[in-house]
Amino acid sequence: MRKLLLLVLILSVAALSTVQVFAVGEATSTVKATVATELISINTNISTLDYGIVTAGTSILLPKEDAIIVTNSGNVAEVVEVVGSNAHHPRTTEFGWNLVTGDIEGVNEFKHYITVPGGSKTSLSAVNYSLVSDNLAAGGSISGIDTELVTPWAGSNFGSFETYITFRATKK
Amino acid sequence: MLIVAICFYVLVSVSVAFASVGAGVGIGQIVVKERLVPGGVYQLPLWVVLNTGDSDGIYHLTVDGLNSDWISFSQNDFKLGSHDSRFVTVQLVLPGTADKGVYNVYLENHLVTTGPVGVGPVAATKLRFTVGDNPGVLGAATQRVYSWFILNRRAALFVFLLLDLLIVYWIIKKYFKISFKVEGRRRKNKL
Repeated sequence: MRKLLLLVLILSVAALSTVQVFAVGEATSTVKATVATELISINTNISTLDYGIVTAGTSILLPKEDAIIVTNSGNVAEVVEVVGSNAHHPRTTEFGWNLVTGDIEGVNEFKHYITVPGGSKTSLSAVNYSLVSDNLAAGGSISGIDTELVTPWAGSNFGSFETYITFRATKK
Repeated sequence: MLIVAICFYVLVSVSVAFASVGAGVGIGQIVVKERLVPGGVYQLPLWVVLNTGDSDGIYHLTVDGLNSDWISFSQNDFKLGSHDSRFVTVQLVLPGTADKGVYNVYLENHLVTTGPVGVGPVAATKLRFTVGDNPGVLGAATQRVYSWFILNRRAALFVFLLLDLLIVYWIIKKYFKISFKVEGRRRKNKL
């Protein structure tokens, strides 16, 4: 019995010592890594767009003078990409109707496109990455970004349309 | 053809909310030097996220290019005032089934936008790490326990210390007889 006790005591002290070794040996529990400390930052001049009530069968183009401006507000050159999203399904909310729980037939015909300088028209109906600039200097800006909403020729679809466009800045 | 003929482009005066909104991160790139072991839990260098815009905003942190279960943020969906920043602790939790190889992912700071068409900035930190050979179920479990000790070494130290004290107390009580007697000092009577 005494031998067992002694063994437990030794094991316990050994475990304690091991933990202490960890505590001393690992001044921090953070994984060893090379870190580039620099400000990667991006600003846009527009936070929301509202197309208002749109007639079915039309294609709405954002006026040029309202074009989105993307600015590299960091202190190094950055890569800026545009990130689209699935358009949220329109919900019928007008005229007091409330069909918010159901998807409306034909909603996939709503398309939202974005055109970036030097890039092709990209549909935001699927998540896409389209290069905007691969070398945007600190303080530099990109303008002339167009967004376009294409509605289906189906008068029965009405409701609100929601989507998002994001501009992602990363280290070059 | 009829539809094409009927459809037409129009320019409309859309309602636009002009405001300088922004997002930033204080680290451009993190390259983990160690070869990581499946099952392990690793704390990444402290991450700083910023609001570089001129108005308050809600910020959402995500990871792109990796299962979101692998990354945990100490806080998320918080409000940042204009030009405010916040430190966030990021943990990489590798499952025991993680495949061997090099991983390139993005840690992203999103400004949450609302409205029919939200236009939002995202600043991302590149994260690169390498996962080594899979040590098997037992190895992964051992790695998880090891990681727990590393990340919670103060708690582990306290537990073992308490255990040691209890064992020592029990041994002393069983095999030794120690008694304490407290006596007051006797005063000499002065005549």
